[in-house]
Amino acid sequence: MRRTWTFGRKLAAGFAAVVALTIVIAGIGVYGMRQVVAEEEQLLSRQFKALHESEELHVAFERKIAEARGFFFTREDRFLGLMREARAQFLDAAGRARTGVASEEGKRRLAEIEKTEAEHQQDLDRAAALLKNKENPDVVARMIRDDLAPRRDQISKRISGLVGFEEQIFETARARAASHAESAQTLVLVATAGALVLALLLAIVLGRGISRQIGGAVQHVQGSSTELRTAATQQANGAKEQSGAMTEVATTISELLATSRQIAESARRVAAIAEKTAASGRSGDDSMQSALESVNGIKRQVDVVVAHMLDLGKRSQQIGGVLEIINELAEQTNILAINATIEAAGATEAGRRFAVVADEIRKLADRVSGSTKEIRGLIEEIRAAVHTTVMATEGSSKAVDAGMREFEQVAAAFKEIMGLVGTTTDAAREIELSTKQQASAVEQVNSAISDVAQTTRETEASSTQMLQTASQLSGLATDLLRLVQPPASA
Amino acid sequence: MSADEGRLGEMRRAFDSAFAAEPVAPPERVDLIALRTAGRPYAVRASDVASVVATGTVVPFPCDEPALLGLGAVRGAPVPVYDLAALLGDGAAKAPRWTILSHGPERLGLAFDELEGYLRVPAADLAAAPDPAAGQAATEIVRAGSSLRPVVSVASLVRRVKQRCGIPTKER
Repeated sequence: MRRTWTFGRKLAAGFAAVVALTIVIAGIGVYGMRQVVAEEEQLLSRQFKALHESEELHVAFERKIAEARGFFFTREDRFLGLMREARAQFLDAAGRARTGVASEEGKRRLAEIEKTEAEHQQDLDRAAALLKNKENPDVVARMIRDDLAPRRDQISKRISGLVGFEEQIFETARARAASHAESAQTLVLVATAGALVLALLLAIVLGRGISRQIGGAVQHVQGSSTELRTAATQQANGAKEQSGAMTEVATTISELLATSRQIAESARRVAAIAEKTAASGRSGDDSMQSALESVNGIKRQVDVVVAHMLDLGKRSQQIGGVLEIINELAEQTNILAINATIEAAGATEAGRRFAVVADEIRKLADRVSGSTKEIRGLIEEIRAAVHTTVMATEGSSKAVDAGMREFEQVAAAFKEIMGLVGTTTDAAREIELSTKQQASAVEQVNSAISDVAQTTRETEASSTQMLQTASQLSGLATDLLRLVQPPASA
Repeated sequence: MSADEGRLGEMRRAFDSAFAAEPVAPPERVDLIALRTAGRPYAVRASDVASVVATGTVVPFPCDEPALLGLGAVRGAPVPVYDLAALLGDGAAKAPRWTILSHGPERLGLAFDELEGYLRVPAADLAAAPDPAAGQAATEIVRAGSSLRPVVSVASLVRRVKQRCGIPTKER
């Protein structure tokens, strides 16, 4: 059976096969029954006719015997006529029996009967002639007793044999007809049983095939529905995750949009500040030039200060030299005063007054010496201060030089900064423009994301609907599988 | 008024009072010449000293006395100059710039490093040295301010030098 056939075609083919088989069985049965009936009717008719004709022979022969017996008793010719009529009846019956008897044995027996009856008729005619001729009754009686009677018994026996033979044939034919009928019945029963078995097999095959195919299809549908449900679940989960992700993306895009706007605003501010910075830079450049000139002036002043301080140091050294002279003079004065005091110690009154003067001179010399020492200390401090100042001034000069160089570097850096500020201004304007374009693009992306989010929600809804449909389909498949397969095998 | 102006006024008043006051007899005080040699402070009585002069040029003179620096010239007369620190046993003076001259016809000079000043102290500030040091020449000590310094007897040093040189001493 082809697998591509539909169930309707299969069922139709199965029913057609069953109907055809039924028709065949019915035809076989009808044919067999008709055959049996025809044979039986033919046989029974023939045998019945043969039997009837045989019985007619016996009746006609007995009537001829009776008519002969009437003649012999009465000697009336009427009985001879009746006897001949009976014999004609007999012969007629024999003639019909020849057409009725089909078997050779029956024909032989019938021929013997006719032969014997002809001989009996001859004897009977002779006896009748004798009797009519008034012969001795004894001769006739003896003839009757010796010839006619045995022949009569022989004929009766043969007719009985023929009847028995025909009855046997009849019974045999009837038995054969019954056998045929039984065979036909058996054949019909066998064919019916075969048809039943075939129908059962066909039903089983069809059922199994249909169940297997439907079960396979249902299982396939069930598997497909399970896969569909899994896919729908995954799609629903994916749609949920995608929806969540789209929400996050939308939020992020919104934040990005706000950030882009803030960046654009900041870039605009940066551009404005950069312009102000450029203006301030130009002003600062002028200030730098002025400051550079001022620093040059400071450097010149520092050089002058250094020169003055060096001159001050020299003058301090000169003061120190003079102070050494003063100190030397004070020391010598002191020595002289000490010597004067020593000299005046042993002198007279005038010497004592001189001693007073000398003592005062010594004191003055001491004070001069002390003051000289103080001045020396101060001069040393001044010289140290001058030295420190010179060193500091030289350091300042060097620092001023370094400052000059650094200032020049600062000026160069300032010019570079000015250039960079210009570049920054241009870059900030480009950033502002780009950020505005970016914000516009982000708005478009946000709109697209909103559409995608809407689509995702619709996808989620359709996925949920598909999940429900898949579940219903799975339930229907399970129900259908339960219908076509037992629960144990299902 | 600054400290210098106050100090200047004090000096002027002291100087003026010196001329205005009547000359009075010096109190019982002792005049000392404070000096430092070989890094150690000493003092000598002014009465033991004829004068204080600059050491000047000293010509080395061969002698067994290690303290003898040589011969110097004071007002045209040769004077043997000795190292005061060497005589006191303190080693050699670093730069003997000053020289004190002893009294008498056989004067000698004692050279030392630094003249620290002229001291006029009460006699009560002088005391006998409890442990005479500096070659038994410092027999007294004097309190000058917050410090003590040995008072060297020039006469004792002169006698010791003469004894070393075998010169007979004359008691005045």
